[in-house]
Amino acid sequence: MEPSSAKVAQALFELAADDAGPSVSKFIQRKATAGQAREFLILKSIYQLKEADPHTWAIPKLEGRAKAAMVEIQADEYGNGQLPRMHSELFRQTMKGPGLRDDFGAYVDRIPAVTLAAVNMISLFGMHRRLRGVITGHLALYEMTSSIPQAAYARGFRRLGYESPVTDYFDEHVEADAVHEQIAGRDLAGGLAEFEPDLVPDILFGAQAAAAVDALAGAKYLDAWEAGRSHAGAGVAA
Amino acid sequence: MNDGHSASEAAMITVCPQGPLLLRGDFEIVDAEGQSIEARKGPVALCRCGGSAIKPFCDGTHKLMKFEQRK
Repeated sequence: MEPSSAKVAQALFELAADDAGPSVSKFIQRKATAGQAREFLILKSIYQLKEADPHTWAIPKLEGRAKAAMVEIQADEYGNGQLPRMHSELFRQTMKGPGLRDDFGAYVDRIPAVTLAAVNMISLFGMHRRLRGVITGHLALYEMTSSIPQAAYARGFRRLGYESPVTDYFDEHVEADAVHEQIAGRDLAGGLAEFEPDLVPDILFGAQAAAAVDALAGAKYLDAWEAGRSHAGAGVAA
Repeated sequence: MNDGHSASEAAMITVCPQGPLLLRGDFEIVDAEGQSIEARKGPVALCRCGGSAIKPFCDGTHKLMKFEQRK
């Protein structure tokens, strides 16, 4: 592939559009019980309570346009330094809605292996300079597959009777990630591809890895929920 | 990026292919009556496809509408 910013962004958007992973968001929007919605938050908490951190490791490993883009996205993730706007902090408010613990790792023993794998994979990608292409592709895919599902989550939680501040996290992401996906596609991943054309395969691999592993986790959740089983351990979803 | 200098604070609009208008820098969004529309801090994406549920802001719906993708 031609390592131009536009081509790389287009390839990533196409990959994101083809992401045929199971739709956890549609399930939450239309069908989830209060218990399942609560369990969904527990499953998300292992990443969302430290949201953005593993991608931040990539900042010093990037240069130029890609670095500036990563900083622009991550600054937004951290609420531009304002604690109440920090995304992990918004998720803390969401956890409090159904009375869940909001300290990081509180439910780690109830999180299935595939969910931990998805989160550990981001850390792996973020911590190694040789994987700088992979981590940018991962973030781009995350951003490109976020705003529409987040709107579905917001509708699901409103259907179950929750409102602001519980739903703020989802509402913020509808708008923020519609911005981030543009920056991540062209300036971050595209900028890196123009600077280091050899990394294009890594960028695409990172995006595919993100989609593949999250699809595995999503399939596991939906199988359990459709069959009326819990996925974060007995009692949690009760 | 905002480095505190006036040159970098001038509003800049990026037309995203098949997507929104991306606004950075210093800008104010007002409605038809001149009333300020509160925007989130940081860069903002304005709907260009007409399909957003949070207009004037983008919510990613252009991807479902295949905006500008028809050959």
